[in-house]
Amino acid sequence: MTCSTSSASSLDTSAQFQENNGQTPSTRWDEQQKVFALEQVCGVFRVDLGQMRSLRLFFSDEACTCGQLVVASRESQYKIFHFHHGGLDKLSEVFQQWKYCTETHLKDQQLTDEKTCMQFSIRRPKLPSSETHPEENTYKRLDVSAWLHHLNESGQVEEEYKLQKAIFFGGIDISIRGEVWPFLLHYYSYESTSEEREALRLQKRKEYFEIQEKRLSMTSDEQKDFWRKVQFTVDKDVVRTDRSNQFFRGEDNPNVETMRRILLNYAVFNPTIGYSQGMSDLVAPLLAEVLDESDTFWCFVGLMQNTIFISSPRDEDMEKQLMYLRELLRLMHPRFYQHLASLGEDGLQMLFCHRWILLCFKREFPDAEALRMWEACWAHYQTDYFHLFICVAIVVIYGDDVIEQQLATDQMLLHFGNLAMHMNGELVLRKARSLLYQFHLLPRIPCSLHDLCKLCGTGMWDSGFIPAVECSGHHPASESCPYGGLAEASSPKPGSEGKRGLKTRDVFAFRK
Amino acid sequence: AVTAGGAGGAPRDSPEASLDPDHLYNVLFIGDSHVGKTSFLYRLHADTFNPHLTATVGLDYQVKNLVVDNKRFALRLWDSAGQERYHSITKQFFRKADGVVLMYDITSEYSFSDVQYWLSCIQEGAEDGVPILLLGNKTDCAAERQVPVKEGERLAKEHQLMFYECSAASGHNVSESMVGLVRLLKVHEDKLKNKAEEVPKPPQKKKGCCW
Repeated sequence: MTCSTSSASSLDTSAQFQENNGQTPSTRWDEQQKVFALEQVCGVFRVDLGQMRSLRLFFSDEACTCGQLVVASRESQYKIFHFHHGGLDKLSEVFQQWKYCTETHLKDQQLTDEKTCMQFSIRRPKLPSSETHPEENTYKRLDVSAWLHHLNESGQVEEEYKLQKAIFFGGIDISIRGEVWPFLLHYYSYESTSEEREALRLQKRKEYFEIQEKRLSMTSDEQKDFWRKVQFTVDKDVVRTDRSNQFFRGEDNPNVETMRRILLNYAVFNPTIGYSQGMSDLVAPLLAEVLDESDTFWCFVGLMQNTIFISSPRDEDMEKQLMYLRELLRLMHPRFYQHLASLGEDGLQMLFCHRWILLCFKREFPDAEALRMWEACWAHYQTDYFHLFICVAIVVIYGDDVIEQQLATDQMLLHFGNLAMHMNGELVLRKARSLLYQFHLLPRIPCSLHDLCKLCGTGMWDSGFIPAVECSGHHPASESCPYGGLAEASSPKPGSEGKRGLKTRDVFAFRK
Repeated sequence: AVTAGGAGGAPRDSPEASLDPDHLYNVLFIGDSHVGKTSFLYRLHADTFNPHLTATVGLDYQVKNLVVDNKRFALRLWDSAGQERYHSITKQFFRKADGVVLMYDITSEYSFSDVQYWLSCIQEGAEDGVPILLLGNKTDCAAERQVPVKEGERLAKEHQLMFYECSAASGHNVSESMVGLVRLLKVHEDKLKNKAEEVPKPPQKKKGCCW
């Protein structure tokens, strides 16, 4: 279905309904290239209606010609088309005749004569395989020419979600990492022009050296304290970070000194966090790609502030991550969750994955693979917690032994510890993407996971991910679920989708 | 980056471990950052020195099998991160430790004065009377020594700790200190057993085997 959102007063007459379901991979690739070509035209919203969950028509006049069409994707995102000058009646006829569409009647509607709403569910003979994300293999690595395609004449990123999606699936070519990472790490904003970025860099460089100046002009007491709390540890850590990387190899390597300065200056810039061990693991790859000292510093600041994983040293952050991970496992890998639960508090502590989360898999995979994971996480595509899906993927792929042999807490630590640097990162990443897809397909999610996909933007849709929520309890002191989840339905029944669609949502948070 | 993480014979794979150990102990390594905990364990496991081990983040774990006085011992060695940020993870493990190795760096006065802090953590979190081995590491760096042997001995005596100075770099006293600890753990276990027999009512759950 192709429809221009800028002139959505009437539906494009060239609306297509693709009825062929079994596309061969090669035609699929061609198809995809056509889609890309179309998507390059600004403002075009194009989806295969046959892949959607439901279509709803809301009428605003008695003749039922004007109103809104709401398209709901299987991944619980929504798009609204406004019909101000008629045409909606014709559309309803088309939908009624289309064989993949069934009209579902709304309960409360039968009570009134007036027709205000029509609802169609999409029936597909077969759901797409959930083993791999359906859009897997549709994106190549982002190289220079693809990157330049995303920029307009003044160097602004035209549509950031398309860039983020491309990075999520395809990753970034090594040659342009240094150029693209500053966007992902919130140093540059997507709407900034090349000129503005140059000005920003100058400004930020000045700021950076002011921070350094502050560090170098400490009183001797301050200096002593700083040495004890920060410098002593930084000095010892930088010389043992990423030694295998050519960039940091050898005695008296000036890049090691640069890394040291960045970390020391960061501790001055953010004294609350100061320096925690592990930070050098995070800053080293940034420096090796971004190269410029001040730029790397600000990218690192972005990494520590704006991404949700790792970063802050407070225990409650880690607790929150672990809580989300436990809930995800409970939902997506119940057998493993049960094993953890059977070990009690110690098992649920999941010690084996603390380092995964703290260093974002840096020590579990070789750099090439770990950095692909970082990029996929930084893309914030459809979730802010993609790293947790990667954790689940590792457990799904490499955790069978744990369940079969009923490994205890310490043995689990040993099991996963021994797997470090011996796992297939590409496979894990693909699995994680498919898990995210499956998560979005769930008919309802526990309210504990409500905020898992909140900040990541709406993409080409008008709404973010708006799942049906089921209350899992555990709300301290308050009796009602803050997410409006209902406690009744204990286990989601497969195929109950139609039913849940009947409930009118009041939680739409549409983008203007 | 090289880590010493968990390479020590997995219970399932190592032929050594397939012999059922007579005794099994959990030993927790603590002490400031950079005193050499991971290097010590690496030396114990691989009998070499690796100067490029990365900082431990969280908790690492390995198994070491030793034969002492014709008895087979399996040690579960828990390597903790020294930096304060990670102490909350470490602290959860105190109560499970059958023994604690508290390490400082003889070239760093700070690391030695922090031994007091670590002792208070043990007192707070671990079982009463848990055997403790105080280790002053880096004897190979004699020129940079800041903590005299006497100081270590004095502190050990004051708190009734077993004490060794050692060097993960040269291998000095590495296995000797571990053998010493194993004997101490055995004595402590026997003592606990006797105590349990004296108590008429429910004998304490056998400690140290499964958690």
